[in-house]
Amino acid sequence: MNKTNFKVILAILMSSTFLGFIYNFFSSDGIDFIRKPILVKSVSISEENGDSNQLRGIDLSQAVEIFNDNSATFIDARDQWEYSDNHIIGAINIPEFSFDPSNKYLVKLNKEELLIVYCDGDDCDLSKRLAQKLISLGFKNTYVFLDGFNSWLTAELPIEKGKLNE
Amino acid sequence: MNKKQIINYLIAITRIYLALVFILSGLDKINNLEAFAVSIENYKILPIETINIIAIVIPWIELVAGALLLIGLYIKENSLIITTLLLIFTVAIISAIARNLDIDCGCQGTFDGQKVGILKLIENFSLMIVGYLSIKFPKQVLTYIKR
Repeated sequence: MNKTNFKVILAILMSSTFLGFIYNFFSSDGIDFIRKPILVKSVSISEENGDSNQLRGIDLSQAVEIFNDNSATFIDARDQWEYSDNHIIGAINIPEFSFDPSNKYLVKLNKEELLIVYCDGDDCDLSKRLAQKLISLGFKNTYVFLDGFNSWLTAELPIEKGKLNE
Repeated sequence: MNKKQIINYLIAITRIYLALVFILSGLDKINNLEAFAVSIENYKILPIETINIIAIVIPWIELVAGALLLIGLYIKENSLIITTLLLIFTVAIISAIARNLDIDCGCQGTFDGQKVGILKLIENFSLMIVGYLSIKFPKQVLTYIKR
């Protein structure tokens, strides 16, 4: 039997790496080589927060207050399955990884509306990335719910399941 | 055609299937680099700084190894690369299941299509068996290039 030629394997891996870098460099959809963590400033919504281009985050207690006041639209940035398994009552699903600026929920939202974006928790970046995109589209009153859905679940706050937004 | 030849053809057909799966998977990821990077990030295994480099390189390894496997060039080596990738993906999926992560798989070109779970594991194990057969019996059957 032929022996495995590890030089060939190395050559294939190196060529693929080279092609990947070249393609990424010239592609209009190319991404940064180094992914950067997104910084969020913890704020209180009741205060005036000044620079709305800075990504702002709220904690669980504020999220609950806003939820009880019914004064904001909650946006679930997770994928469709996580959303359909469980989500905050009334939240709409705009998955970050398939974000489309012409999303049917997005076009119905008022640019001045208070939007609370969440994903699993504080180690999840989906909500931050989606919030960035929403702010760049002009939704200046967008906040990240930093403690996320896990804290909501732990606090046994109202959730619903199985309502996959079509 | 004797029994041995039939077996060789069957292994070659599964090899072609494996190659096509990886070519399509690679192309889909190349067209959705950011989505693939987010998928990797969702697994919460790697440092965030390394994610984009991996997202840039992995789809091209899948595409190149898949294409070479399809035409039958360096069958053993390309099968080894693909099987190793499958093994890495499978370990990541098992780790996600163990941590109760309910996330999009992000594998094999199935964005917004499959979540991590037992079905995905079975699919990966089946493909690993195909890969193993091509490593063990890299016959020059149904190949475009003869070496």
